[in-house]
Amino acid sequence: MPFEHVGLNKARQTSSHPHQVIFNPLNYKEDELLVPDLGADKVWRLTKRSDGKWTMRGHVDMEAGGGPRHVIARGMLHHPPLSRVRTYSSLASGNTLYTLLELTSKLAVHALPPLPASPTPLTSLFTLSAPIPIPDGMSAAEILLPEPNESFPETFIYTSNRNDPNPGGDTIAIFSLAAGDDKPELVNEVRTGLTHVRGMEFGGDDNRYLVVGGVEGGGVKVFERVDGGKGLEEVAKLGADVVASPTGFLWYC
Amino acid sequence: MMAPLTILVASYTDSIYTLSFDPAPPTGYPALKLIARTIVGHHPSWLVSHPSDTSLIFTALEQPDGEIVAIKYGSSESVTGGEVVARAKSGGRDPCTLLVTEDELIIGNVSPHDVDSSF
Repeated sequence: MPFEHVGLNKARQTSSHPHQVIFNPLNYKEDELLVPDLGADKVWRLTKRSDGKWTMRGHVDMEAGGGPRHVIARGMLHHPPLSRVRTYSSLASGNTLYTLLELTSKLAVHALPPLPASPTPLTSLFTLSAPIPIPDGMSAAEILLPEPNESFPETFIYTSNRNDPNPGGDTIAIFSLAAGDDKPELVNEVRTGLTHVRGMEFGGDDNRYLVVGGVEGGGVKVFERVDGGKGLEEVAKLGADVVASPTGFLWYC
Repeated sequence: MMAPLTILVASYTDSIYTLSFDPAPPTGYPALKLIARTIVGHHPSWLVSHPSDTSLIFTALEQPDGEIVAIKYGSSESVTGGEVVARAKSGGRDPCTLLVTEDELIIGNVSPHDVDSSF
């Protein structure tokens, strides 16, 4: 299925670049795909036709030149990702889309009502406390939202930045949703000591641990969530001489 | 007390790495070790598991002639390296993301601009 769209950034947006494909966990009626398209500054919404083919049903517009890379959709009932439980009634309000904008290092927030209603932009904020002027060579990469549990009852969003000129390496930004799902606040930046943090994943009991990799230096590190999830503390590492160029992770069960 | 955990690592080498993370070993400090390296092809940059068989892992080779590789791993108590069990074209260039359902593999080929679903 071809995607053919262009965006503002002449270096990175001369064509569509679908960077992720996930199911929308908020759609209880049918399977819906969310596809962030870094080249088109849109997150596409697709469902299946009666002949079984995926088709575009709508989209979420992002800021021009933002380059959406990865998204998280979250509703009031806080289902785990990929859950399609059909016993819950569809909720028209309180559904939020969080989008990581790679090219501008921002977190965009939209209200995401069920199809065919249009999404509403709510806010966007930098994933860096001190962003440097664009073009800066930096690019945000991953966005994670571990669902709250007994050990970590508060909700945080974690995003990774890449190509930080700081000699201490790239940072992971931590946003709190204490003020509301539509009002993330940057509460912490963790300097990882890794270069080009493309991939990271939570795992272990209560999603206590975060494994992070530096594609261009530093190898792999495991951090433990501390301070209720507001902080990360490095607890283990493996150098780039052992695991070169890590780009993604899967906690294996 | 948490038992050791297994982490698979996608990379820009030719391999997927199997790591063991022990949060509380006898030494007292959490430890991260390399267990195995599974050679699969050029730049296997993303990993997903099958929804009903988590020992079946899929990766995409991020290269101009994109390819999907299926790898079978052992049980979580004794997993080391994996065995490649299937390969298929991704239908585009530089596949960088995958979604796996019971009967469908949906692939994002980041250049040029294709999302292909194949059965």
